[in-house]
Amino acid sequence: MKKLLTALVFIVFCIVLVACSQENQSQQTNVDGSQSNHSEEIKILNAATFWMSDNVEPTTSWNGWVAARFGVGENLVQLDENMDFKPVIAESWEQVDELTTVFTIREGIRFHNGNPVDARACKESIERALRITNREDMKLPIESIKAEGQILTIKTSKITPTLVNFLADPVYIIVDTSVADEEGFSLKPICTGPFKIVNYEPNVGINLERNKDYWKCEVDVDIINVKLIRDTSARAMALQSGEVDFATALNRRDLELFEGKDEFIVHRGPNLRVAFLTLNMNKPYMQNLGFRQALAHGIDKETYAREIYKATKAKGPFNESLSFAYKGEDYYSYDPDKARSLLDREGFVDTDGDGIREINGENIILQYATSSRFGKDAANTGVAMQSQYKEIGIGMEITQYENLSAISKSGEFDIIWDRWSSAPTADPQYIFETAFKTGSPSNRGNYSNPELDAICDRLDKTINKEERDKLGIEGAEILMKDAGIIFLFYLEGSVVTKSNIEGIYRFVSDIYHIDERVEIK
Amino acid sequence: MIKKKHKRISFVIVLSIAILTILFAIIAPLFAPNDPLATDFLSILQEPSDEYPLGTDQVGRCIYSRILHGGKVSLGMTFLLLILIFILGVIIGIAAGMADGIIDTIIMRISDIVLSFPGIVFAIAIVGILGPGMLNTIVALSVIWWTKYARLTRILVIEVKNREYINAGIIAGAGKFKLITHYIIPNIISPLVVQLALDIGGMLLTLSGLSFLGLGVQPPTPEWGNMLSEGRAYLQTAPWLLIYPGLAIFIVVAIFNILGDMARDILDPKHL
Amino acid sequence: MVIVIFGASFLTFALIYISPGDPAEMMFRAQEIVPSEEALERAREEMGLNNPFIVQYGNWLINLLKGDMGYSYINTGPVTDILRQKIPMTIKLASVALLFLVMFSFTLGILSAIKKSKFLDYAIRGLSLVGISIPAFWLGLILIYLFVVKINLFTITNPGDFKGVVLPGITLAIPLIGRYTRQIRAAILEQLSSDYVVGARARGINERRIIFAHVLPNSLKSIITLFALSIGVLLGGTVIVENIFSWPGLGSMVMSAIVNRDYALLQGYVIFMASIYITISFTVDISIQALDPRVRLKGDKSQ
Repeated sequence: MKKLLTALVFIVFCIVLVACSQENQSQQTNVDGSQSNHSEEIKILNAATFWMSDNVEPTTSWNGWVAARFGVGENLVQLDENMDFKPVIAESWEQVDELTTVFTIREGIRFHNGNPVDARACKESIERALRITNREDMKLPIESIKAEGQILTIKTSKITPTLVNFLADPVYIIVDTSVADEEGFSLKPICTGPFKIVNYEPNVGINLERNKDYWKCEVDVDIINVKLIRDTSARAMALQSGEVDFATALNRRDLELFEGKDEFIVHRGPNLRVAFLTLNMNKPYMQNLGFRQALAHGIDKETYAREIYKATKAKGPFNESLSFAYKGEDYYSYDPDKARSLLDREGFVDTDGDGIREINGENIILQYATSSRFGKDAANTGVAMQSQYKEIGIGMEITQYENLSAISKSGEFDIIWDRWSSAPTADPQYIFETAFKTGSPSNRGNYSNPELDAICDRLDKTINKEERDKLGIEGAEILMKDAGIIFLFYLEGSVVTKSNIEGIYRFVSDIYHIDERVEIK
Repeated sequence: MIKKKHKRISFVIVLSIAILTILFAIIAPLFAPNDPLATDFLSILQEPSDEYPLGTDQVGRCIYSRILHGGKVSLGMTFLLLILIFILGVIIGIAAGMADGIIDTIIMRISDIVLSFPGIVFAIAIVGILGPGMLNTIVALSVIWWTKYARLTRILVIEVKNREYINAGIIAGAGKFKLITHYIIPNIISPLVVQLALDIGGMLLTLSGLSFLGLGVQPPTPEWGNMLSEGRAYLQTAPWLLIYPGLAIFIVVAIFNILGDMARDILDPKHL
Repeated sequence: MVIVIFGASFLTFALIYISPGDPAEMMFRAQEIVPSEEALERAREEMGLNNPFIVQYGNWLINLLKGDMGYSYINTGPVTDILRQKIPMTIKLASVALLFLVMFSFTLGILSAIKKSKFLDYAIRGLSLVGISIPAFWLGLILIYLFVVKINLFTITNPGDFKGVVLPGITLAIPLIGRYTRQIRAAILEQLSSDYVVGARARGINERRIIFAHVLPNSLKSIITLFALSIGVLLGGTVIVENIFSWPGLGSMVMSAIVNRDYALLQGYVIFMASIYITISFTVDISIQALDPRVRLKGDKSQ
């Protein structure tokens, strides 16, 4: 009897297990949808993304990028794949005087919920963004917005040469404000793009469906399922195994797996991202220019760029394809001897003979911080620097954090490896004002340089494009010379798709992935 | 009888291999052709060659040299941990076994609590709180694993305590300390050593697993687990970053597992 | 049982208490605010951080009993909500692994015992040695390479469906399969040499019948005890396996909690793991005692 009971308990146990796992399976299949049969009529695109925000409220942080990437949200004006302006919701615009710009809103555009888009709707959406955004870098000095029919007139309180550039940022995606206070809006914002969000699951993925009433054209793809795959090599493998048809930001080595293969199309080339090191200027030794110069001379960024990334070494924040890029000589090329003599001159010497220099008797061990989001590349730079700094007598420890802003606020670091889109607005002022100007919102090393601040002030008042470019070049040179920020290299962007996916463009800005042109053959 | 002899011979062979492995791990760094920490950017992710017998990693370090140096770290940590928990466990176990009553109860209750807890989970939590690092990992695992040895020792001590020769020792006027060192320990040591031998492989796996997760040995110090973790991204494009450190762990763990099994068969046959 | 959970919670709480890092400051950091010293002091007062240790622990325990495990600053949500989200994923992974474990270790263990000292026995014992010696994290990567990249049989990004759960499940199970195949083999061999089997054989009862009708049910209870003990290893193993397969469960969660020093979340994880582990071993103990009163007399259940 007891034996029987034992056996029975065991069998029941097994059955429960099987049942549990099966039940979960069936549930998942329904929610996911990606496993449903590919029928002739429904075209499904499975995409992998490397980053997702907690929600898609465009005015919050960088969340709007998610809406922009998959064709959910559109602006009055946007930057196309080559960083040129293209009219979207506004069919044209004109600057009528120093402070006033007039936009003509396209007829016949409707929000995802069917509400018509007119100048009033655009006005309310922009005003809402100005009111609630937490992006200090995206605030605009707007005095008034007037809406009459399809005519939108924006007046600024001071000269704003980059008004249109700013309005092209995802923060200013036009949303239907009449439903913006409803629950769930932040997960399913009502916009005008070719795709609308059906389901948004933070940390998991997004399900999108075609906007049947899209204003511009009939959209070919019916459903896009976006999966969050953080790991670079996992994205590559998901493409290979056929789990996804589209992936971006692949590891440079992994790209070689797809290049030259018939089943895949690889788009690659420089984007606007620049990798740089932010030095923590709150540390007394970092205030010493000689010390910073030694740090800059101590690393062979050219070789890192070439060998680790197949990227280009950076001289300032802007890559050479931009009209405001500094194209002169590099101030701090790799020169360990110079680095050593600079350190000696400034009194950072090794007194106890262990090969590491000291400050007040304590070995200099710099804390190198980077985000795990930046992947292996960022850590590899650290490993490379670690061994090169050892040669000039400076120790370093590497830590990958999940959340860089937390560590930068704590101040417990010496060097942060960061990467930034240097000119999302196609203008030099943005990154100066956001990351390097005294007291600017994302100035992680508390960097302050009156010369650069002066450039920012001049940019504020300069409208002429050539003049602005010149100021950009000047600012870049100032930054590089001061070595408070060490620019490493300009990164490359990549998009890989299955070869049956057409109409995919690699945007230099990296803001957009998929738009109405996408087709599945 | 012949079978037993046969077993002894193969045990001696495996034991010599294990000892050689340990010796080799200690002197291996001498054979390393390159500095395990030196980066060489002109030869990144290169396939095995004459200069780099097992290829190079993502920053151009010699994988062969890193494995040789890593062995010292991996095995060194394992044995440090083993010695720690062995000494701790045996001392506490003898204390519990010799002292009846309250001390025994307290020690056993504590070990009950520790044992009734999923060990690795707790170790991960402790390392998480103390902060990643080699020393913290060893501390965390010692906190968990001493109990196993303490319990085993206690049972053995209680078993041995009432035997005649112990009584003879007491009559002969041996002090408590002498009693323990001369009479008790020699009589309980062999099952403990068997247990130790059985645990070596598992400990090495656990330690390198924690390093793989980024909790144990920190880069750039080479250790087999963290080499695997660093090489993960190159699974497809430079598989040698993964194959060799993994093989190293596998082979060494297998040697010690075989050794453990054999030691149990010979020294402690009643176990099976 | 309660005492054990209590002890575990006390230990983790004490460790966190002595660990570096100020919870008040972390709370501010989570909101991306640089706090002033006064604001910090006020927050510490509000959060009860200035109370003596025992009071803090008491408050924490009371909250725990109310189902409040605190606030996770990396996920910006209550710990209980996050656990609720992640637990099913890890349970699913562990169940699949357990299923593999039961299936394979039984089949292999029985086969190995029946064919003792034959080729099959040696092959299975060899395989189980490989199983216990192979690092799971390495095995997982190799399996991914073979089955996802090379022959596209399974997927790595669909934790939901069958194709996505096989590889992590098997990776988690293999080391345990190695271990339990051996132990099941040993348990059955022990039974096979016992008097009643010898007797049954003498009576000419069919060998298969002996195994399935007598030996197996008799060894079952020791095997069930073994499985109960393996739950801990299984739960620990999920951390590594989830990490390799980007499985969105508790293991991935605890790693990001550690990296970001989210102690509330870490503590929630420990409490949950301890409770589930203890509940399982307790249930198994009770059911075995119910099945076989003799066990009670045995006392110590050393491995």
